[in-house]
Amino acid sequence: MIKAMKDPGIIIGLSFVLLITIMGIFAPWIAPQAPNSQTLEFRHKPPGFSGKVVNYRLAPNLPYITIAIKKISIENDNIIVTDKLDRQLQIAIKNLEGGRFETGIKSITFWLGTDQFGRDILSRIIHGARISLTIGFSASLIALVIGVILGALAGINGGRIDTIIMRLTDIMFGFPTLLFLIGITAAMEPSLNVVFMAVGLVTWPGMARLVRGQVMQLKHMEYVQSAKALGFSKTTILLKHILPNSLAPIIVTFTLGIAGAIMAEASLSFLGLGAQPPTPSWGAMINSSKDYLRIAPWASLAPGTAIAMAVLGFNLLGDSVRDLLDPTMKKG
Amino acid sequence: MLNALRVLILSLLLAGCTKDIDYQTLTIPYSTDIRGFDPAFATDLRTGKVISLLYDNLVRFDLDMNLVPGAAKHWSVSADGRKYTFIIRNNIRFHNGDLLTVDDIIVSFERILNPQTSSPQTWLLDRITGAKEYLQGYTDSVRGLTVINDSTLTIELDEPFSPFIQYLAMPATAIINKNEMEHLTNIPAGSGPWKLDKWERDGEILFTRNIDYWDGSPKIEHLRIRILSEIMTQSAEFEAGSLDIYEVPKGELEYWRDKDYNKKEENELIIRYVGMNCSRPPFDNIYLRKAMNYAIDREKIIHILLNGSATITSGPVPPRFLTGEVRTQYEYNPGKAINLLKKAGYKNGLNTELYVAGGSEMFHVLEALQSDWAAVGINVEIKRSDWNVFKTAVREGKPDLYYLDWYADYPDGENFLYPLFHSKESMTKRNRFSDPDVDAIIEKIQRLPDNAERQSLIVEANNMIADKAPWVFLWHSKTTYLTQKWIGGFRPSPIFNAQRYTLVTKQIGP
Repeated sequence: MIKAMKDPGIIIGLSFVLLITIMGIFAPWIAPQAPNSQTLEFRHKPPGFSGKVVNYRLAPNLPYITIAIKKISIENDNIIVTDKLDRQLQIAIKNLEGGRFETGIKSITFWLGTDQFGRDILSRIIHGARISLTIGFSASLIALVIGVILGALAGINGGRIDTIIMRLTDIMFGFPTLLFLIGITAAMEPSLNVVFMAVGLVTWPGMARLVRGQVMQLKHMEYVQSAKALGFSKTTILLKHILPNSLAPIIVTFTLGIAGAIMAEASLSFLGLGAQPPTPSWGAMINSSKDYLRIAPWASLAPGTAIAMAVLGFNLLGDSVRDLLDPTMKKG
Repeated sequence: MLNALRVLILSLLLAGCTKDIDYQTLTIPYSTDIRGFDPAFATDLRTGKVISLLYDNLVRFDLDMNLVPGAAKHWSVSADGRKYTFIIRNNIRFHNGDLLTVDDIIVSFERILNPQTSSPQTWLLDRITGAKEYLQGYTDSVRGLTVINDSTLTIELDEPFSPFIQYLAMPATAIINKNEMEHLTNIPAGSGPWKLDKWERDGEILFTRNIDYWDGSPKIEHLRIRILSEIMTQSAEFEAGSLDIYEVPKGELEYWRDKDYNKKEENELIIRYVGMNCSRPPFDNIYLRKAMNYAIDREKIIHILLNGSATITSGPVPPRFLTGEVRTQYEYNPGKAINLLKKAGYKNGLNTELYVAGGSEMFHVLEALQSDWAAVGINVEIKRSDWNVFKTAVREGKPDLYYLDWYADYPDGENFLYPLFHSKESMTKRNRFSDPDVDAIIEKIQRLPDNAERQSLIVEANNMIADKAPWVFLWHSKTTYLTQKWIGGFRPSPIFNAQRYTLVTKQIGP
């Protein structure tokens, strides 16, 4: 444990992963704004900008909308708002957020600036973490389940089953991953569900190969041989003796798989094949703001940094865990 | 810090781009490549533009959208509006030196109609007498096309149809050299002001001027069209001086607003809209369709997201073709939208899907519309797909909502009515709108020659359609062109195939 703390990789990796996990889990509570709430008047404002807005809804069961205020006055039960186009708007106070003047009118600060629809980039990044993590975990989980089952089957049985499964993984390895993903998602209706299924279904061969290798190696260990001699079934040996002992490399591969899946989701969303607007996926955010690179560089820089941090975090974490668990690496 | 970053990005983009200016070549960008040089398949704007550089038509549009003589010196229309007589110039030569004759015109037109050509543009000529029989392969020639003598040609129609003369200015009715019709996709056979030098697919298209052009040779020696798909690349290249004329993308207007370039703004003949499927629930309900229209704040979107480069609609027809005062029927009125929604029976709102083609410029505004609709309780999910998939879905009437735009084929209000709202077209290709009154008024417009009665009918049709709300009418876009200071004589035109760059000059100093 002490040794682990000396490794800067694990510290950086862990802190990035923790940061993103916290953002993802607590997104609705820590994000200063709703991720899709637009204030068109605040389009392309730089980081740190703050402005005065009114939050209201047209009727009790409808979502809140936000507009920037130029002038404001109160008249009986209504407020009269002059917007930036000098149009006057009458809003009933009961329709303001919280039902009171004090809660409906506020000044908001955009710490990371705004995008082309005047949405708070920080809030979108925070909510984006949720999407990246969900996709990363679920895609990796699918790869894990398929990979472990097929790898274990191949390893424990050997012979023809092994050959068939391994040739299948070879075929899968033969396809360029991203191209294969683009093909799958383009053929379906684009959505996040398609993305994580596709990523999971494309990335399992690595896991299968690893597990097969582990099983083949452990199969000849004495304790496995003795279990066999005692008459345990193949399934029991696999589940009770072999798999628990190959957990370490599986965890490492799983962690690295998350980084790959996050990257894949971002790439597909960037190409318009993943998250659909207005979903605040990091890749989609870069896509929609890339045309404004010179007017509002922060709008693409922020999600770019977030992707880099997430991928780097999981990669560093995976690497460090491997180093810690692998006795041969320690001497080097 | 941010400024430093901007400078860094810019200098990276510009590094290596600066070079000596070539005063013999006019360079302009296209964002995607053309389909080829065959007029029969020129259905998209860019291909159509290139066809107009390489070929002549009987008539053409000038920069101000007037119909002017092309290969035909004069023309006249018979009193019943059915027979057109053209006097052909006898001094036009194709690029290979052959003389342009009346036969070339007949062969070119019959080629479009010939079933073996399988051109999607037969609609331009199928109103000629005998064209339908020819199209089906029953006859060897089109009866309505008659050679009177070496320089006279008549075209007879089944019924009077006033837009016909404008059809003859379209890319598909370009005149092809009858001796060189073999490889038109790659090798053009025209007589236009520019000759093709080279077409490097997805790279560039190079032209040399036709020095003997009958209407005056272009002033610049070469024309180069570069295919640059990324907005950022185009604008960096323009800034480096490698492009001479540049169409500013809507999103970049903020950036170029205060820059020192010659700027020209043009109202395009275009309408952007959201089509609603009018023949099945939920959008067969007119109250719901009106609610969709009242719910969006066009004024704010145009002002802020489009940097003011669009005008509000009064209906489908651009203001240029409407006489009298043009008023907007659908102002921003979310309260009214909510009431209409209730009246339509959607007290608790509704969920629906909007189809859009990937890569559309519309992504710069789509989410603002989505947010406006959500504010009144209409939750619209955006479905993005590839252009071909999207186009097929629209044609088959699959989407409830879809975003599209319509560019004028020719400068006439009729072009914003018949192809979009006549039940024959709409029920088979578009948003399944069918209304006998609208059909009747459009057919009447098509029979009348251009006069005051026709003009007022166009206004009436426009208002009638706006009132029935088959679309969410969005706006008519404007385009801003920037030119380098060494470019002279450039004027933009609202009609796509009027621009032939013959008067543009390129030199140092004013």
